Amino acid sequence: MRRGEEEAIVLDQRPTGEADRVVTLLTSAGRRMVAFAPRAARSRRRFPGGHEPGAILAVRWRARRGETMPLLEESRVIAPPPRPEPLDRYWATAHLLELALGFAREGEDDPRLFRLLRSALAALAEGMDPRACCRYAELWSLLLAGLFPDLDACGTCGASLAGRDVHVVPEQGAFCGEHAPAGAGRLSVDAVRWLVAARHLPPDRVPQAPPAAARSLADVLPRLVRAFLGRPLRALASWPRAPEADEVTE
Amino acid sequence: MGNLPGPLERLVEELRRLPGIGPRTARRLAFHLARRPADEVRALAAALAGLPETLGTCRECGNLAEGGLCPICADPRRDRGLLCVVEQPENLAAIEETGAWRGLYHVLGGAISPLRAIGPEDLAVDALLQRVAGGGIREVILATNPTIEGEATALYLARRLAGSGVRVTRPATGLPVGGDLEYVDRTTLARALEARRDVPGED
Repeated sequence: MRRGEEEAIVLDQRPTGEADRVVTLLTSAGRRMVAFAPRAARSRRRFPGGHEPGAILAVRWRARRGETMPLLEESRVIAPPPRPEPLDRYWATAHLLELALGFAREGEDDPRLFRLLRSALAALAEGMDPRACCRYAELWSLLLAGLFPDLDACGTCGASLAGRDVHVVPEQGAFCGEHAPAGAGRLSVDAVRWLVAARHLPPDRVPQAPPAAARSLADVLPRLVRAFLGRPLRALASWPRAPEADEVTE
Repeated sequence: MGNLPGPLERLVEELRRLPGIGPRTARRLAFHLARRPADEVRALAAALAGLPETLGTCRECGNLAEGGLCPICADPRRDRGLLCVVEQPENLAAIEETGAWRGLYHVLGGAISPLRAIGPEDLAVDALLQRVAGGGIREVILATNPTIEGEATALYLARRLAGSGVRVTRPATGLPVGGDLEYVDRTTLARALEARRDVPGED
């Protein structure tokens, strides 16, 4: 019998049976864990506060040898999910969780993923611009997975890209304007400056990108993430469909 | 399975598709039905077979209905100036059981969920706005579930209804009746404190 007590962030939950829940967690070890929470919809004693996606919980679980899905015995809310007001924050929270669902692996530890999601959720709750927070999390998810291209030199001619627009193609790298393949995403000088800042600062201290730079970041970073995940990003796809939600801050 | 007679095995497979029914319960139910008198089983089968033909959606509110209107929308004693918005027909049934609501309903068919790619256009939002624009409604109560998805959906609807001239409210969330403060989770307790109300003293 394996047992564990740790902090975890709820990435997703779905009802099963009459009152049970299957809860997907990102544990403090940075591992994705799909756990079964029996009678979770009814038991306020064992599961006070429920399993809202984005909530940070203290969980206690156990798994018999050979069992693939651990049993969640108890959970307690450490921090509730960010309130969905303004509505942009709701979509951003969903996007952060979707990123973690895509980048975290079952059975593989990476505590940096947990720290990234925890700090991004906290920054969002404290008022960080939701879109900037999404870009920050995309950048760092790619960096941690070793998928972010080197922006220093052109992948074809080797020329320095410092102070120049950078053209990025998923799985191919970064290029100068002359050698940019068709369909490459363009990062402006300001966008690259923002990326450099975001690599060295916690999310709540990252400065606001100028509007044009924010647009190019919103084009290139999700494109890199999509190429890795091999599927559309659901939260981003439904975000623009609700233009009444909030004025775009970019 | 495999060792059951064919009809019983097919029944077990069908029962297993129902929510809350696992393989053991499905088997238990199938054996129970196999032992019941034929008339009783036929009556159950007839009730099930008739569902797709007889049960539809209320053209006014989206509730389940037999015919064009559900019993609530067809009831002339209901206050047509009050509209309670819920996610699913089951939520409507829960409110009806309280006996405390005498207005009408509007069933959205779910809640906005970016993780499941469910946006506002996948819900009966336009139908709600049309009902309100049609006039006669004084108050819309946004009774979506007290989850993050439900909260976000209510917030979205409140924004869409702003300027319509109707009062928009949300049911209170907070301490359960008969509960003990000590056992209330901190999110619920925080919400209850936020939504505290004045207690009128005697003059």
